[in-house]
Amino acid sequence: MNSIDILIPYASLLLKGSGITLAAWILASIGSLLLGSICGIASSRACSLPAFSYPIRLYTFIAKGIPAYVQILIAYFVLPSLLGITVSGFIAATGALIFCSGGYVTEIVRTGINSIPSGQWDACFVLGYSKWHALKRVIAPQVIRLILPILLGESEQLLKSTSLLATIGVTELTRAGMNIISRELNPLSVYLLIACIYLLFAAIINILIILAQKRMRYGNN
Amino acid sequence: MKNYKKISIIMGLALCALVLALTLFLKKETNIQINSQKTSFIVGTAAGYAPFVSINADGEYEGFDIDVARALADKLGKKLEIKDLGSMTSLFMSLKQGSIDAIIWGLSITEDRLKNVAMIRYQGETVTEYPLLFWDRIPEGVSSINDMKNMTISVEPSSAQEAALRNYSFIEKQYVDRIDDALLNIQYGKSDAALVEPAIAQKFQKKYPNIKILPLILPPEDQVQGIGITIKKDNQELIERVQAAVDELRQGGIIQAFETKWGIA
Repeated sequence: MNSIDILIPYASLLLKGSGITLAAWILASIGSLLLGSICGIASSRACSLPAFSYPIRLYTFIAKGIPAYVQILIAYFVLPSLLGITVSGFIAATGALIFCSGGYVTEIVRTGINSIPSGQWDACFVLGYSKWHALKRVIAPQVIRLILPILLGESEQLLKSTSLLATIGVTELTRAGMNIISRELNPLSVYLLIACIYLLFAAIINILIILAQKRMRYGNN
Repeated sequence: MKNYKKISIIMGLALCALVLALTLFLKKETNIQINSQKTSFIVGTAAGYAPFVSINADGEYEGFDIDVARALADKLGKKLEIKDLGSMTSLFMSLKQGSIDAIIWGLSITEDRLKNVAMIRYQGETVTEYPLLFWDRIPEGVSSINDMKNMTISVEPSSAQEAALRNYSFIEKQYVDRIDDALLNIQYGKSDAALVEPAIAQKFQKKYPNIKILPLILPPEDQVQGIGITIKKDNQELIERVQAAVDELRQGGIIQAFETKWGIA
């Protein structure tokens, strides 16, 4: 029996694992993008309110300073115990990834906004734009173009971090593979297959980002 | 601006105080909730440790430990709830927190573990030696571990096998997260040998007959008393009930039948 024949019966398990990986990645990406955008805008130089700015800096310090693995353990064991609630491994780990990645996205968004010359803000105000409208119509389109490649890197990092869900028992792609290895003892072929599936996901992310960049260039022209 | 800074600091301190208060207030409540869960027997385990526990092609949990857990829950008159926690760290954290009643995961009974938890033997006899696995051949001149100076051995951290290596400071340990990775290490020459459970060695050798085995004889203090169901030490009532249930299962030949079924006799 060759390696492929051994893996065929586990196709549904690998598909399910891939589905969980994708679901965790999509949810964590959306969540971290929302959280990071809000925090990044609120703490940027132009929009900064010191009452928010310092707690946000504290948040990014914590999110970036604690390893994602430890954050997942805290989200799964410590917080539910403190709050007296029960949380599934998937929710806890995805929440932890949102918190962790949100810290990085905050920095990316803040840096992007801060990199726009202040003269552009002044010009908007002279034209009677409110802060929100200036951000939405003038600043944000430029910032998005600037930070998109960095967000792509963060998104790919997030995809790889979903394998940490395995440490609290979520049967995502990597763990589904580990389970097959323990049953069939063919580590090399399983790890190679898993690597190919992750590459496929990464390729999809890259294509989506390239399409978005092309669309933005088109809008710019 | 200075006022904002002060407000931020005060807000930060208030948040810390709130978290601390929640910690102290809610901890008691959580414990009470867990102790009152009497209808189900919550077993912590982690798939990916065949033949003890793994997920089959249909996505269902199976293995020797799963069969034992089912039989045990029946004897206790409780509904079995399997909680897959992925790793040894998570299993012991959950047991400590009380979110699981017991760990059934092929864990060896060691003196170190018995200091912190209660372990009820359900499989295996006293292990007096561990198998050292080599890929293809045992290196020339090696007839015992004492001949393996400066050689590398793959071992799981915090395992009974790692404890058994503490007397051999000349051995370089290579830690693996999962014992299956030890197989890769010896196959690709990353380690000279791997030290594993006897049941795991059997499984490996069945798949790869080219694996060669050298026994590592254990001193009395490192000998393992089989594998055990792990329960919190202060849960005396459950310890007694599980012990009685395991005794019944062993006397009835049920555990022996599971051993034959999963090839770990």
